[in-house]
Amino acid sequence: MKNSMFKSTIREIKGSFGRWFAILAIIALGVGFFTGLKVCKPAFLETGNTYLQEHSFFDYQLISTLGLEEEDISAFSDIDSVEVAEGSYSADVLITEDDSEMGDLVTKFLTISKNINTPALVAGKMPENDNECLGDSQNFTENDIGKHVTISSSNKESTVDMLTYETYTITGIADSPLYLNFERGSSPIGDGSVACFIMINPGGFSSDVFTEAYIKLSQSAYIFSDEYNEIRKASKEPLEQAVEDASDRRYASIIDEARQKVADIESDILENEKKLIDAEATLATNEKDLQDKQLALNSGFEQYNILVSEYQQGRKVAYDQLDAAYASGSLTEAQYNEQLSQLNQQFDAGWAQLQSLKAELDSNQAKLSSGFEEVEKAKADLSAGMAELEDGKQKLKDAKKEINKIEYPDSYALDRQTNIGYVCFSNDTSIVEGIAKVFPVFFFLVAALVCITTMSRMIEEQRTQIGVLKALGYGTNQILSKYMFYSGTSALIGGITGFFVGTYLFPWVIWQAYRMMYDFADITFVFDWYTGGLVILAALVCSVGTTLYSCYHELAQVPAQLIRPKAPAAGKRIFLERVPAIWKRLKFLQKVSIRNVFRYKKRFFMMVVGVCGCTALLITGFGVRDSIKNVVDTQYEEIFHIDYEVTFNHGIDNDEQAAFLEENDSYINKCLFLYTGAVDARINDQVKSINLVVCNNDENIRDFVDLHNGSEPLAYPSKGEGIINDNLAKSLNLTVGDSITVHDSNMKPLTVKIVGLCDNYVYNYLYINDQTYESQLGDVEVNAAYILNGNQESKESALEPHEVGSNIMDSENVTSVTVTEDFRNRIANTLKSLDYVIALIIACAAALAFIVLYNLTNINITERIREIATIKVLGFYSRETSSYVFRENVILTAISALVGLPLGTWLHRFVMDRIQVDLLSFDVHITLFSYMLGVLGTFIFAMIVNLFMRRKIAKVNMTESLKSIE
Amino acid sequence: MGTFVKFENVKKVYQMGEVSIEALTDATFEIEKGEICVIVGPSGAGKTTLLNILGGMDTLTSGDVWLDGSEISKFNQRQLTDYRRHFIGFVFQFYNLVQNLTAVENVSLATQICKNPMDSAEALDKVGLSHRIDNFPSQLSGGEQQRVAIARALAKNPKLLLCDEPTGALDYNTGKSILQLLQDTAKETGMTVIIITHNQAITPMADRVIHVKNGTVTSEGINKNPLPIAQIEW
Repeated sequence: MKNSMFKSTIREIKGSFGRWFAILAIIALGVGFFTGLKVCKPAFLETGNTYLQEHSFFDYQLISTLGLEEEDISAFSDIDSVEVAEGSYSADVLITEDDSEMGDLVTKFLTISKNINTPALVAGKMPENDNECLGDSQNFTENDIGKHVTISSSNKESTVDMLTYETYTITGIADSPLYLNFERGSSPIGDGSVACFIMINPGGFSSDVFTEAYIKLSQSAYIFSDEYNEIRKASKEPLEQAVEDASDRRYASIIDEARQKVADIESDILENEKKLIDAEATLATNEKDLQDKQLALNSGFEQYNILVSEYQQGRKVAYDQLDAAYASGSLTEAQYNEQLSQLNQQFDAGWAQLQSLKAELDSNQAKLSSGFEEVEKAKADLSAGMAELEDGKQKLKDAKKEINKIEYPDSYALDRQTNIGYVCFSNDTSIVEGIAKVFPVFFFLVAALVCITTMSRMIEEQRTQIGVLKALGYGTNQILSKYMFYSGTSALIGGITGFFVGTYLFPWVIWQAYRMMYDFADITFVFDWYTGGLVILAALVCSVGTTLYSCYHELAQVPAQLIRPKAPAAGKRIFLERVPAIWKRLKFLQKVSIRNVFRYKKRFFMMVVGVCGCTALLITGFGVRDSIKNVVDTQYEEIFHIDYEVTFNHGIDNDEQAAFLEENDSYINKCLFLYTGAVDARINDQVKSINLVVCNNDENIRDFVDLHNGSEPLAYPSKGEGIINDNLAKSLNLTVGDSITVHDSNMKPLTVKIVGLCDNYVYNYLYINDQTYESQLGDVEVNAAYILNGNQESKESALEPHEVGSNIMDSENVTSVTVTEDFRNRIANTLKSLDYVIALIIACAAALAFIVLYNLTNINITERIREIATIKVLGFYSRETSSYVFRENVILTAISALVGLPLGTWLHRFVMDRIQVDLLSFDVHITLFSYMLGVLGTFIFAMIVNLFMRRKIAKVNMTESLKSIE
Repeated sequence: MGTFVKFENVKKVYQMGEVSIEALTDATFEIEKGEICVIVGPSGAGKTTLLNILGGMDTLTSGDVWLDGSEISKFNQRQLTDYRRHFIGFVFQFYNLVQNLTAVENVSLATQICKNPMDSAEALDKVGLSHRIDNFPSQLSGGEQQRVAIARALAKNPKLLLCDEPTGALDYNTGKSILQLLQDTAKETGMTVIIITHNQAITPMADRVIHVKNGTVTSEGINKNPLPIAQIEW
């Protein structure tokens, strides 16, 4: 390109910057929209992949119902395809938080492991001690650091035994790769669903065996890729085998151990029995001996008594003889005294002898008595021993039975497809991809139209200049290159700008909405250079191509023709003029505008396509909001008429139910006791978590849950039947008459025949009756209550719902209370992130409207500059002048908005069809208000452009009217 | 008849960046009511500037301009618009018809906005185009287009008819017939008509001739007996 030619081109861009920029902007918008939407899925996958890789997401989870031992873990590690195997503990635990009003929380205690499923610390620090823990970022905030979680007293003993401490201190808040989305899974305790996880060091668990093992394979690949699926499938069999072997080993060792124990006890018992029998024999001998001795002693006493009476008799005779002898005087006094003292001496000695004999006998008697006592005691001991022995024998019998009762363990090798967060993520990342298919086509159409109209107008304006250049001897190509440069630069710069803005903005904004469900990491931006390059190339072809197309005709002419002014486009009558009924009613200036509107087909088409796109986008944006925002409200207004949902810490019986009703009488209008739990449906690599509701057919559940399909009410299912929500049926490809199998948290299956599909917007539900449950899963325990809060005129009904909630919470046996109103508020807050997406859509719609309207108005003004100058000279006020020009815009905007209404309705439906989320099924509708907003918004954008272009009209110099036609 | 238009020491300086160009220096003249006045001068003499000022399309740097007793040099934008709307009829060199409007519609474009307009069809009838009222400009010859333009100007019943090179784009005969039309109109209606041209030859048709050169009025003459157009040859 010659130097002066280049300068002229640059000046051309400077001089008509608005026009050049309009091409740039529409190309940027088109390219941005295309690459932005296109790059969303790769960016989300990259975000997920990076996160899961960073935190070593498991490839396999191995479970044996009897637990796994160190030995098993090392056996797993030895498998060729395994890089790391790690044993891990987990337990479902009810906890109470510090200063929590709402009672126990169902939590999943997990092990902080070094190599697999490592936690992503959000705030605070990792626990150092065994009595410290990490809290789930879904439930805890930074403010909770330093607070405690306490193991609730409602836990089963076996659960408490799993844990070393009663209280754990929160040192940090974390996410876990095990939970990519908000779903925390089901649990056999509490209300059946896990609220959050708590992560503790292995030392915080006091279990002999690991509850599961996580496996990281040595090969890895991008998440959800075919390559990964290959790796996953290839390693499944050896792992299944290994965990089965481990189960076998574990079973054998448990049985052996138990048998050994029983044998030990048995031999102990035998030994004891023998000892007791010996003791019994000895005792009998001893007793006999004692009895013999007693007999001997008794005869000793008898002899003693004889001796005493003989002594007394002898003494009496001796003294009587002496007294008689003295009285007869045969004895002198001296002789008498001598003989008396001799006699005294003799009998005293005899008495002493007798006394010592008595003492001896007494002591023997005492000895014998204590002997007898001992024997009695020994007898009692013996019988106690006998009783114990009997006991022991019974226990032994029991123990033997127990051994037979130990079930053969189930073992599972679960891959990532069983992780709910992972599976949902794979489905949900594709949402945007579907939407990305329709928008870009539209934007490219508008971009092409803008380029065509702009460039053909430009060439027209520059006819004379082209003629002069030709006359000066410039070749066609040189002249062409000027215009190609003009449109090429704007397309290139616009394309590159659009590429970068789209690549950053779209994934970021849409990720904000995804964060309602997948709040695990910040978005990782991905640059799709290949697509970007292609799109920019397409944009270039589009703009340069339209330039060539516009130039082609002009350049074919000879310079002489070109230098002469082109005959202005002839005026034409329009179709509407043949409808006098309408045409005659119009004011003169309106007629003028209407005729102008239909004068240029290309521009009309560009304007309608562009601006109706704007209206359609706005309607779609607001409609998406309509369809999503009120889902929770609709759920609770149309289906769930529940004010409070209460869960109990165990199955409560009739008395406890009555006590509960009495205690909370003032808050309760109606109350329904039932069983609720969580189950999973696994069908074709999909995992859906479902709320199970079990209710007796006699209960009037209709007052609480209005099961219906459209306007048709559904009867509560009877035995063997179930009702599921239609969104679930749709995603599992099931219909009435099919049967569905779900598994509870212990992997026990439940199969029912589907007899109805109910309307439902939040979560998935399966309704069955108590007989169905009993026949397949066991006894129904009442663990929940639905409560209607009547509008009683009592004092309490004036309380705020959450106050009533915490009052009910204080009742006996209550684990948690869900206050519907709180729940609704919480969801409403979450859904605010949708506003980012709405804002993005509005911004794009505005940009579209601005560019198209600006471009068209710009063309109109430059093309009709003489006309505008003339009517100014004729004395039109500035307002009249601008409305002379803008009335066309208003009419076009109105036509476009009208076209935009059905287009918007269609686009909205298209988008909603692609947004399938597990949590919600949407109430797809657009409110009248949104339609109005869409149209109003379009008009506001048009007005803003008009306001902006007014200045340009004001600047039109009246002397233009005096100039000759160029 | 009194003074209808009065220019007193009118000066107009265009500021083009750092360069100032004096388009009018000290222009002074008067025109009486009902006169046909031809302002004549070579290219670049300041004719157009004069016309712009007179037509309320441009402001002046210094001096006074009076029209029918109003000092239009003191008018603001709004008043100038009113002035153009109600007092002035314009005839352009290139007719400036709106291509997308028929002849009658082009006339209506002007009559829509003023107080006592003539009927559009009547105005076209006066310029001899009653048979072409529903034609678009592209279906009319140059002379016919200029007639439509004159009809548009006349339909407003203006006090002053300003014509900028009305024959500039027309062939000799057509040009003559247009000038004839203007002369007849002025005679019939007593309207003041100012024709701006570089063509010295047509000066005999005027009641008053003003010569402009180098941004100033060089001479001002009155024809006691203006000639009918038919008698003028050039």
